[in-house]
Amino acid sequence: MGPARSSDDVINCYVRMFSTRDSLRGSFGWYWALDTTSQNAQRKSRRLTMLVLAIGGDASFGQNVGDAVTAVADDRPRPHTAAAPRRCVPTLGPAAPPGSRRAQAVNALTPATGAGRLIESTRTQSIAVVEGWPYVVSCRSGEEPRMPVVSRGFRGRRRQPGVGLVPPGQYLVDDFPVLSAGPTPDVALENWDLTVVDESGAVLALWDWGEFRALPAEDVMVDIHCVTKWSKLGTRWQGVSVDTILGGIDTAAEFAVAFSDGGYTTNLPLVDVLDGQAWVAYRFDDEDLEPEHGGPARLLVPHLYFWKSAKWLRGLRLTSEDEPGFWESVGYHNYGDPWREQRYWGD
Amino acid sequence: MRWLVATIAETVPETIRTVTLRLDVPDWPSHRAGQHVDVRLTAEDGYSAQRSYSIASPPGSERLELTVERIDDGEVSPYLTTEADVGDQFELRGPIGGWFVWDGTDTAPVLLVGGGSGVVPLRAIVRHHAASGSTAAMHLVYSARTLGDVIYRRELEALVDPRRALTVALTRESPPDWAGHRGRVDAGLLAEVGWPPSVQPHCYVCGPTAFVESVAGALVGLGHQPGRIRTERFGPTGG
Repeated sequence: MGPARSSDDVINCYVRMFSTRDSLRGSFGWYWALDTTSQNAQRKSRRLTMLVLAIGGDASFGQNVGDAVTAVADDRPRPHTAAAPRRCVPTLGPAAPPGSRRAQAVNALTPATGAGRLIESTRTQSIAVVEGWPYVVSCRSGEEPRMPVVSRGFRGRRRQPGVGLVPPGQYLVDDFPVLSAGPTPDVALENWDLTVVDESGAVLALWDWGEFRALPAEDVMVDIHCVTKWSKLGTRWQGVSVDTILGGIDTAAEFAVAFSDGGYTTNLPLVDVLDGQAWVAYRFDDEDLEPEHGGPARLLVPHLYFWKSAKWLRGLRLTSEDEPGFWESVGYHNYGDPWREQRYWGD
Repeated sequence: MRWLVATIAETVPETIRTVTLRLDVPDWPSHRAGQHVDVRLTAEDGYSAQRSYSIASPPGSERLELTVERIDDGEVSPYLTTEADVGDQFELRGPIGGWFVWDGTDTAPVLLVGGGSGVVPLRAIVRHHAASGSTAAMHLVYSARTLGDVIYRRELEALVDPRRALTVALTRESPPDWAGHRGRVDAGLLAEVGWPPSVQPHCYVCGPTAFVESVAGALVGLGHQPGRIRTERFGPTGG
C-alpha cells in the first residue's frame, strides 16, 4: 500500500514553510535552491549521503514531523532517493526503549506517516525512514518548540544573493576573515615536514616540503563555513588529497587528530577525511597560502565547520579512541556539521 | 545549547559608534570573563540573522551587558546600535568559548591588549579583576583612533590602581595635552609598558585581524611564549 497523500492543508503548510528559506534548517534549503541535475552533481561532489530534511520551530516535534516527512515523500521523491544511505547506518540507533521520549515520539508518528516511520528521535534530531530511505529531521539546537521572539523593527539584509546555499545561522562574505587562538607561527620551509604517526607516536610516514610538493596535487573548489557565522562560497584551493597522504598506511584507527605548529589540534573521524573529502592545501586562489590563513599548508575539510581545517598543519595522529582537540575541549562541538548547526557542546 | 530571551533593560551610548545594551536574561547560567554569546534577531516574517558578541560585563554582574559597535554596512549591528530600545527583545545563547577567558585563579601578571571594540571582553576581565580582589598585576593597553573612540574611558580610568594599570594609545589624533601614548601599539610600546617575558605573563590580544596579527607577532618577537598569548579576532565583516 502506498503512502496516503497529505491533505492540501498540510502540503500548503509545508509549501509556505519551505518557501521561507530562513525557516529551513539543514541542507534541505541547499537542495531546494538547485534543479535536479545540479543537485545530483552537487551531491556527488560533496558526497552527501544522508538526506537532511530540516524544519524549524514548532514543526520539529510531534505529528508535524510525520506530516512533513509524508509531504516530502509524496511530492519530491526523485531527487532524494538517489542518495546512498552509507553514512546513515551507524546513526540509526537501537529500538527506542518503551516509555522513553523517543518511543513516545515514534508512537505519536507512526500512524501519521503512512510509509514514513520515525526510528530515532532526540532533542536535537529525529531520523525517519521514508520508503526505505532515511531522513534526518532536525530542529535547531535542541530548543523546545515555542513561538519565535520577534525583534521589533528588525528587517535584516535578507535577499543576499546565494543565501540559500549556506547552512543555518550563517551569512555570506566575500573576503576571507581570520580566526585563530594564538599568534601566527613562523616556520621556515626547510624546517617543515608533514608526518603521520600512530598512537604511540611512531612515525608511519614523513615528507619534507619538497617531497610533499612532489605528491600529486588536486584543484578543488569548495564552500567553507566558519563557526563564527561566515560562509564563503566557491573557494579555490590546491593541495594533496588526504587519501594520498594515508594511501600507503595500513591502520585499524578510526579517528585522526590533526596537529599543527603552535600546538593546535582538532579531531576527526577517519571516514571524514578519506574518500575525497579532505586535503592538505598549500595554495589558495592561485597564490601560496598566506601564514594568517594557515600557510605553508593547512588541512581542508570543507564539509565540517572550518576550525576542523587545521591551519599550519604538521601531521595527523591516527587513534582508536576519539580525543577532543583544542576547540572541542573548550565548548565547541566534537563533530561540527554546519548543516546540522553543531556549533557547541550539546547542539 | 539553548536559546534564551533577552530583554533590553537599558541602553548606554559609549561612543558615537558603540552602545552598551544591558539585558535581562532569565535563566542566564553565568559566565567567565572573556566569553561571548551568539545573538539571533528574527524579523516579523521569520527571517533571522545571527552574530557573535563579546560579553562586556564581569561574572556575577546584575545584568548581562553587550557592547556593540555599529558596522555601517552590517546586518545586525545597525539594528542593535540605533534601532533597538528598552523593552525590545532578541534571543541569545551562551556563554561560548573556554579559551579567551581569565578566571583570576592564578596570580601570574596579565597583559591585556585591545584594539577598537576588541576592548569589550578585556573590560569584562578588568572588572572581574577589580571585583574579585585578585592580587595578580594587570595592565590594559588599549588602542583607539581618537579620544572620542575610547569606550568605557571614565570607568577604566577610575579602575586604575597599583595592581591595575591602563595605557591608552591614540593612533589618529590626540588632544594637545594628551598624556597617554600617541601612535600604534608596537613592539616598542609593549616592551616599555608590558611585562617582561621572564615573569611569564598571560597575554590576551583582541581586536581586528591586522591589529591582532601585529600585536601577537610583536609579543612573540619580544620573547613571550606563543602558548601564553591568547587571541580573539574581529573581522571587518562582523556586521
